[in-house]
Amino acid sequence: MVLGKITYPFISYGWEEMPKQENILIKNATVWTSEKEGKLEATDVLVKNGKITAIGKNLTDATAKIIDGTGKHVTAGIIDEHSHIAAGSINEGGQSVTSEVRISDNLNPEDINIYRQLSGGVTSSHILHGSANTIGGQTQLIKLRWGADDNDLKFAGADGFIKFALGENVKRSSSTQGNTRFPDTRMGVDQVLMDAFQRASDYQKSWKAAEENNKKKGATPMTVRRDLELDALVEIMNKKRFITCHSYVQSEINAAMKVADKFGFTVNTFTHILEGYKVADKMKAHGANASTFSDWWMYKVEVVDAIPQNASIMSKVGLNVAINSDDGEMARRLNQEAAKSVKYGGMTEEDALKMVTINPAKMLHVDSKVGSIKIGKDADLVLWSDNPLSIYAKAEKTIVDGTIYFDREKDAAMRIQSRTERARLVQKLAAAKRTAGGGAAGANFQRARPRLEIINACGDHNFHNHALLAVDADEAEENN
Amino acid sequence: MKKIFFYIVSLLAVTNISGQETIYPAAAQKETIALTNATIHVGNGQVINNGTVVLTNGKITEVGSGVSTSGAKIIDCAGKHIYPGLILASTQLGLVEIPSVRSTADGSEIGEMNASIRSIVAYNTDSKIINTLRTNGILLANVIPDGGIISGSSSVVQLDAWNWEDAAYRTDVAIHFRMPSLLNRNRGRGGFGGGQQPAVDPVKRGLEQIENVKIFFREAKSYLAEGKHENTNLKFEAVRNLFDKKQKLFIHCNIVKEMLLAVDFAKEFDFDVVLVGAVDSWQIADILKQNNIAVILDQLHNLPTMVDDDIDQPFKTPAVLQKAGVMFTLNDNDESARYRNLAFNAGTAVAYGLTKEEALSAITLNTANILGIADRTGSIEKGKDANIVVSEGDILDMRTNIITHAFIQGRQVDLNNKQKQLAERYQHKYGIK
Repeated sequence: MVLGKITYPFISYGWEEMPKQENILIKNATVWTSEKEGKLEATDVLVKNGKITAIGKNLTDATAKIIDGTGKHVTAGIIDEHSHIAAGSINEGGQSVTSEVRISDNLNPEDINIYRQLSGGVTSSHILHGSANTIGGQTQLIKLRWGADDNDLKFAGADGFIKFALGENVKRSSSTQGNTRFPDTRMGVDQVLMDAFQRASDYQKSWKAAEENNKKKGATPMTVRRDLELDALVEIMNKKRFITCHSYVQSEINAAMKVADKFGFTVNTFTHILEGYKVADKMKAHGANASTFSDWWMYKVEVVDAIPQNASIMSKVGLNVAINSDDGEMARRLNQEAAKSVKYGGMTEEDALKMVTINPAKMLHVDSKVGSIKIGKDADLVLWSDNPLSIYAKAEKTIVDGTIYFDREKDAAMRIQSRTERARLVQKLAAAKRTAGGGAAGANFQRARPRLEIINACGDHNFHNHALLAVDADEAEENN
Repeated sequence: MKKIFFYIVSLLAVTNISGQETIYPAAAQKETIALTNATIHVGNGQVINNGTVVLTNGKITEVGSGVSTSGAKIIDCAGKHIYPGLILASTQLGLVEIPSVRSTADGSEIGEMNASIRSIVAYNTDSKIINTLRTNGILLANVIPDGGIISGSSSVVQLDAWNWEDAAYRTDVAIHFRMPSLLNRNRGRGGFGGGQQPAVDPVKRGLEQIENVKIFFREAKSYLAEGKHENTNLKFEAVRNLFDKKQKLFIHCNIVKEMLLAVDFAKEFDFDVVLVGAVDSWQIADILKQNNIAVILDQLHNLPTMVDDDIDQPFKTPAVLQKAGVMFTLNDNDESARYRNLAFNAGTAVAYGLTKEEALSAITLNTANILGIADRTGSIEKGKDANIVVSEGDILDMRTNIITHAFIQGRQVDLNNKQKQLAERYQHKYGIK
């Protein structure tokens, strides 16, 4: 019996041997630092032991692999603030507050979109729950280390975040059966948040009371039943866990900030935030970040006032703004999505690039590690064929921690490998069919069926095509 | 008095005090206009440097370098680029305003065989989306009905009109046949679970439905061959022009099996067949060429079909078709960005193998050819309608796709839109520019 080679992961484009961390010297490229140094022409970048160790002219290093960057551009790896790739499922829809559930418990490291997004220069993705719930669950920041297992995908040492959602999806406006779950209005969503944090606040008080009591000599010990749902909310109030809040219209954004003010925390990030431009001043006063789409609108009522000038207006008011994908396909063109603010908002190219590098790094609290080209930071880098904001730019190499996880030349070889393996399996099937009894009823031979590719999204994406075999997670549930 | 009134109206238009409701369709062209000193991308592959286009009475009357501009109002386009108005080949613009709100959706009729349905009668010229397309260079669109198996006929509209009659550029250009899917796919989740086998074999059922469509056309043919009818059959009457080749059959399908069956329709009925979608057309480009089948690639910015397909397959499919000599056009049917990224889909095709001028043809002249309007538009050539856009720079790249002027039939189009107005409203609030 001939078996196929084991690859990591065990699907197409899996590695026969995991790529290794290397010392790399990129020579003579245009380097977009996303730092105050700006764009540096004819500059070298040295990577050693997974970190950026030098930026300058005429650098040398005997241990480094040399990559000629002449005529090419180098940027920090792209960071997607809002993604649903590499997750087995994303909506725990039983109730509207599910702060206890964690993406980290169901990462899917075999999602081909990890590899496809590396080909678009993405190096870190913030994997979120969907938007079925007011409080969806604990998120997971990952690095796109294609071939690694679920644990090794995780971005080490990053702050914990949690997904909140407001508006139509939480109200389940599009549910074909109608909604029977509280909340059904934005008024109700507000009260779900008030109730959740009131419970968390009382819970925290009982813990404190128990601790105080138990310190006293001779007191009857008090215990409080641990509540995983409320634990996560207490973390938010103690600034140990941070919110990214799916939101669209100005009323709900305003209301969510009022709840946060009352309970003494900040909504770290409003994500999607297509009407952010209407309340940018209030968001700035609150201290929130904004992560938005470039040009989506008019696919549901809460986005009829969405405008492609949103990112640039929010930036001008002084908010830290990112462009996110929420989409398995668009994520590999985030550089171009950022570039749309040059067209619609007159943003500079360097500022536009920051919306997918250092700005999301800041809002995810990992800007000390990633998001710009700076000595000491993780070597998460992209080598582009052209100006990275141009429609014509292709990522030629995508590097995570000094390891080249995407290489356009290697990719060409992997395509052949993939085709060869496919042909081998087809032959094997055909041979089984030809075997006596092989094609007969009741025998083991079955017609091949393509596997569907489940695309998780916030439920806003029924209107964005993905691929012939891609189905939206919600659609898949309905079909079941 | 009249003059003062006109002055106030223009002031309103300039300062955007009112909403989209005061973005008026332009009146017929009176004054001859010359766009000078520009790089002219003709649409047929040619580029004219430092050229001039003259527009008179709605037509292009001169194109080239050193042409006479006497008597014309001069618009200096130095440093700018001039393109034919871009054309959406297949869209539900004006039929579906907000896809998730049923009452705003007039795109999809009930019933399987609706040959007599006409999209043009429901096209809403006041859709808020239309003006956002003009700002990105799109001036014409083929508005298609959806639903059922035979969905009805589509019409080409121009995007600066008071009502659908004004908008109609060429009506009933194509009948739309949505081929039932022959994809042998499982139901339910495919990710972790693997899914279940479907209750009815989709291939078997699909083939039966396709056979029914053939029967429909055979009966229509017999019916149309008769001189007189006691009872008029509206559905058969609706496909008369298909048999005369005054109309094309647009077959919406994607996988190879489906496309091969589509070729059969061209052969059996001698129809002009255009494939819409045609995701896997790169696999049979030679067959499509041999059978003279044109292709509308629905949306380039998409994922590959199979996990083991080349990761950039959708991006490079246009180059495969171009090389094989297939007549094709690129389309944007993204219901999230609402069709505005047509030029950037074409730009991506350039990154993956087309030349810039080939990509431009794929959203202008090729589209006009496929829609049967190439005698009137699709390129900047003498005698054609003056459907023209002027851009600060390369129209295919979002950094430089900044449309400064647009003309539809010589009428200078107002480039304001609802989104610009909202931006201005809040820039006003914050005191920023």
